[in-house]
Amino acid sequence: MTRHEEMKVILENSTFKLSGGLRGVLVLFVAVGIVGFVVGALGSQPHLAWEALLVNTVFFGGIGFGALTFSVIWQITDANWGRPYKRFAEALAAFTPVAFGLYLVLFFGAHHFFQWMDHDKVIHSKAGWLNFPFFIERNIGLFVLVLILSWIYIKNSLRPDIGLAKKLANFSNGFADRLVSNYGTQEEEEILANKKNIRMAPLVAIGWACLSSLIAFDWVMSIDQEWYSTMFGVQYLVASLIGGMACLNLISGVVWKKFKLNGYISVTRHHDTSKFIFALCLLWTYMIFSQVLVIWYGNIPEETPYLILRMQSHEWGWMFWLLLVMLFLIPFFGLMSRTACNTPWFSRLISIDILVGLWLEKYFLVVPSIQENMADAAAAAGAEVHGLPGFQYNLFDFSITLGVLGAFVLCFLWFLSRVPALPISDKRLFSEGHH
Amino acid sequence: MSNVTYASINDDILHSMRPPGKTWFASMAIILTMLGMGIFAFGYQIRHGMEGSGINNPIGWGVYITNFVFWVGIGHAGTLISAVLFLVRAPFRTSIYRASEAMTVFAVMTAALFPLIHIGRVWNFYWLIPYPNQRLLWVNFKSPLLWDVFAVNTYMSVSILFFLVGLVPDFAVVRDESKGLKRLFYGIAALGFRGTNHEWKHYMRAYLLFAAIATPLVFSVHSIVSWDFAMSSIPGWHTTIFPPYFVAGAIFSGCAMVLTLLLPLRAIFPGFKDIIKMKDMEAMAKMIMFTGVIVTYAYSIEFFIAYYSGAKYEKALFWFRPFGELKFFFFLMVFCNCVSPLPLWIKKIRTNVPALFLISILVNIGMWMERFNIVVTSLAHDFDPYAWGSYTFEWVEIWITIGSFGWFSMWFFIFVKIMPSLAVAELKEALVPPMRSAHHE
Repeated sequence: MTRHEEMKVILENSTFKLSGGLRGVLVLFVAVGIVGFVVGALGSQPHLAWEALLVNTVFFGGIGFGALTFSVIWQITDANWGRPYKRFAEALAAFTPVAFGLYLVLFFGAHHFFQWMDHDKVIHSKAGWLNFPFFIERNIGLFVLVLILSWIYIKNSLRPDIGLAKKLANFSNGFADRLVSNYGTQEEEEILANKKNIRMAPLVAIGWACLSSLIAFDWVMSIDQEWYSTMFGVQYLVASLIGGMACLNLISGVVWKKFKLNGYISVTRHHDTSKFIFALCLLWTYMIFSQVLVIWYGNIPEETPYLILRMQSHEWGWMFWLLLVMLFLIPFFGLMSRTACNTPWFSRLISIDILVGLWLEKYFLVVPSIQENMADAAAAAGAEVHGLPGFQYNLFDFSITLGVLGAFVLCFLWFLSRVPALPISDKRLFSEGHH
Repeated sequence: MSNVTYASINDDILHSMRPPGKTWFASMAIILTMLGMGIFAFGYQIRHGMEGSGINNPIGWGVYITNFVFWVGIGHAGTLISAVLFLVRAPFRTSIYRASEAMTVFAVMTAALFPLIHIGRVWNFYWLIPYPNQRLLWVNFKSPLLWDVFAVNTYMSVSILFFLVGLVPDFAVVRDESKGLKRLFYGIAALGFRGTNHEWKHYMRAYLLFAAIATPLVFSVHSIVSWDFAMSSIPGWHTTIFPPYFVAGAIFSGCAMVLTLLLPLRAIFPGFKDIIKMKDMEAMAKMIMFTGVIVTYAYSIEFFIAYYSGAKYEKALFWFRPFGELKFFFFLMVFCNCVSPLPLWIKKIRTNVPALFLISILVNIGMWMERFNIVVTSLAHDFDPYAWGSYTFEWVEIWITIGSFGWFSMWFFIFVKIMPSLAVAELKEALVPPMRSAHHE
């Protein structure tokens, strides 16, 4: 078979339409989420709904950009192994505009999170940064910038693939057609797109590195306005990368059979995604350990309360160790052997464990601080406060998580059903047998 | 790789090991003079105490600790290139990893001297090590300085072993090409390696395992060095980003040093240009770009959090660094580490040897300045203005620093002559094996 014939087979196998049943279920998820959020926000304890939305936005938005980062990395480096996953990584990023929308919604509930929005409560030396107008400006500004950069990058990456797909299999839909207007010859377009993206890729990576720090500092760290850690932004960035790779690992197991990608996605490629998760989980643990050790050893009153609440209080302390098990011990011992990494059902099980762990990590960073703020406010109002509520999962957590998850998967499938599922025009995409 | 064959690799690399010529001896004379200056100054320091160094009260850590961190940092790129890049199957490592591993070993050997020089009464150096004794006096296991003793020693032993393991098949090559006593010595170093399938199989397995063991060390050593600072509560030192920031900085300076050493090596020995390709040098340049961006990010975040923390001591220190009397060192650091790697983003500059060499030297200077900034400015301006101080360089510490470069270069020059400075066996792996029946020129 010539290369074009091979690519044509891939296209035929991987083109799919989002089936009515699945779409219905996902739309139902979203509806449940919206209903849950509206009921919660209008109810007697609106902060529960708002905090659930914040946790999910931070979590799923991070995964979207984290996955895109891998596409960017494969563009920048000459690594061949990741090529078959490039488009799936880009498809995961389809959620990021929705995440932006959710952040816009979250501005309206910001007073539930941030003590500093109250003029009487903000720490005055920080008021230059922690003030609401500037908060909105910088978040919208940087987010829009990164979205634009990402879109240009994804567009350049899609264009030659869609062009080739058109030529080979008459690939056509509204979204794809709009991307290939004024299409030149295939060869020119490939060279041009590659040239453009070599420039775009580092910009997207740097953009996301800055944005992830901003999100981590502004939306998560500043909930406890006294506490600070220079590493916090990097921790969120690394967590987003783990999330992205864990999703790719899950997808890898599914599409391998479903799209008949044997050879393109093979045991060794799947193995590589598992190894990547292993390495990133170790990196995450390193980030956590470095923060915990420095703060514990330094024993400075501005820094320690955050850890005491999260490691030693009976309300939340247990969750720290649970997270360590889920995000360090299980992937570390689970993915240490080659057989474990090679076995799709097993490594995917660990990916699910990691994704749940990362979700809990966001919950663990956001919610205790909100509870503490509320306890402070109640104490200031003269009420007697006995400890914090702790981990009290509720209907809003479930419904809103389901809603955002539904939106996330919908975006992914919507995008993937409209573009070639593999970067077919990329010369570095080859099946194992040809290597 | 068109004109590179199994035979030409052997020839080129063995050529580099021929008895040294005039240039080598002339360079060695300069190097030994530098080393002699260092030894003399150290002797002076032993005789007269620490008065010849700029160390004072409150700045108890000065140039010596700066040198220590600098040299440990240089020692990072070697293991990164040989172990981490091996695990991620990056092909550009093959031509450069031997020389960078040697650099690692010698840099750590240099670094390990500085705590000894710094402690003053060097004859008591064994107090650093926990040993059973009658009075049950133990070292302070809770001190990051002690963790450092362990970390650096572990790193040194593992990198030496890893270095020697990698050399085994290459020593065998040298043995096969030489006669007499030389053959005997290289035969011992090659551990009787004959290149059978069986031997290669075990060898590759061992190498892979070693790479996996060495990888965590890339992170642990410099993290622990950073904790020497971060564990305290001194403004400018106590910050959570220090471990990854130090690791990135170490790789940054290490890769720069690899370029500083390999670009001349490539120019001096004939045939090396075909083996150490410009593409490999460019890959190093890209590592510098990448880690340079991380370092710049860390600088910025430090300033941001100093403001955001609201802690007035932290703020005062981060005001002192760019505007105090030591500001020259701060801006030199920013220029060398953040600005000077920027031209590398242009491919033409990245592939231009003089430009690359210049930038690599600037980065080395910048990373020395970074450590100097961290060590000295924080001690100069801690909490109590009554206890503030400043730093002036004294001749003894300058001479010892020069001596350390002499010491490092001396080992590297010896290495180039007695060991294959490029990895013979691995370079051959990348070639098409010569066919016995096929005729080749």
